[in-house]
Amino acid sequence: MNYPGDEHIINQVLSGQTQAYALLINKHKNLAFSIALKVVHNSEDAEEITQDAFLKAYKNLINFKGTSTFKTWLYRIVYNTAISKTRKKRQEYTALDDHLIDNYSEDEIIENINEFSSDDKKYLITKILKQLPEQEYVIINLFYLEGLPIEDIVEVTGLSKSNVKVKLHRIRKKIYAEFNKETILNGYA
Amino acid sequence: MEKKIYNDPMLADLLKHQEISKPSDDFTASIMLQLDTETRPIQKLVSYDLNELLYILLALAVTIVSVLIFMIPKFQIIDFSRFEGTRWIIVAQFFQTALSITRQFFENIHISPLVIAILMATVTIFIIDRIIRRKEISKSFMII
Repeated sequence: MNYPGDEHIINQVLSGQTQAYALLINKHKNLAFSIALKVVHNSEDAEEITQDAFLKAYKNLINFKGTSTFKTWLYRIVYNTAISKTRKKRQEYTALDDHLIDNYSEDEIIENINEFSSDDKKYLITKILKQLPEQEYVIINLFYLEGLPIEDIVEVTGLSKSNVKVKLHRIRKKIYAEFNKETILNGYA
Repeated sequence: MEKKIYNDPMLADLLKHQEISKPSDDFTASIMLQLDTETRPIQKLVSYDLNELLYILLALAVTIVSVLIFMIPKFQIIDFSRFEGTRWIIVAQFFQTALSITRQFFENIHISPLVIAILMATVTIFIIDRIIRRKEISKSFMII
């Protein structure tokens, strides 16, 4: 479905057409929910957090200055709400092997990935992303999937610009390293 | 610029393949139902920014002080005798003395007083701007 621009929808809501807010929800609910789920690891909690974030955004729509995009603003609310909810019960992760990161040829692995079937890609990327800590998951998805600029990711995560850049570089290498490992161990492609 | 540095269509494509978790079907309806009980956000009819007003007042204050210090060369000869017997004489004399001392101080250190005034005004506006910006960001993003 093609949605109108966020700014246009926001103006509609502010001019009294409350129902237009449903368009904003439908447009951003999936990634907002995924971010919350990645942080809290529970569908019910994630849904509650995402709903809460959409309500907060609605109540404060008048304060939305447009200095960043609506989705940056929303993801920041979702991320902060989720983090504050789990602050006392941090999740443990099976860390990806850092020593593997520099131990592969990028050209080779990209060539291999091209040979993967769509189902294999889906299975592997989902598996690898599950192993990423929530912050890395948010950074990589916002940058490569949502196309958010680094400045916006800085606003969502609260990290410094240079930190986001370093993390992007590391996460990207990690993901390829894991693909490489899976290719070798499980004979994909 | 960053986009070029980190440009990786392969990874972007891979991420599109991930299994994205979706909220329940009645997710949107449930929020819209809750919105019915909320007060509608209404667009301001007259849009003026309080910060802009603050900057204007600050700039005006700095200009007035600059004019008092630098544009009245012989501030000391202003006759305040007509205020004699009122409390304004004390205020006027205090300003007269303070401005004379300030002027003398700048003249003695051989740095253009106007340059110092401009620098002071810039630093003041910068500090206020940072404070306002910080307040705005925390309000806008609702840092929890």
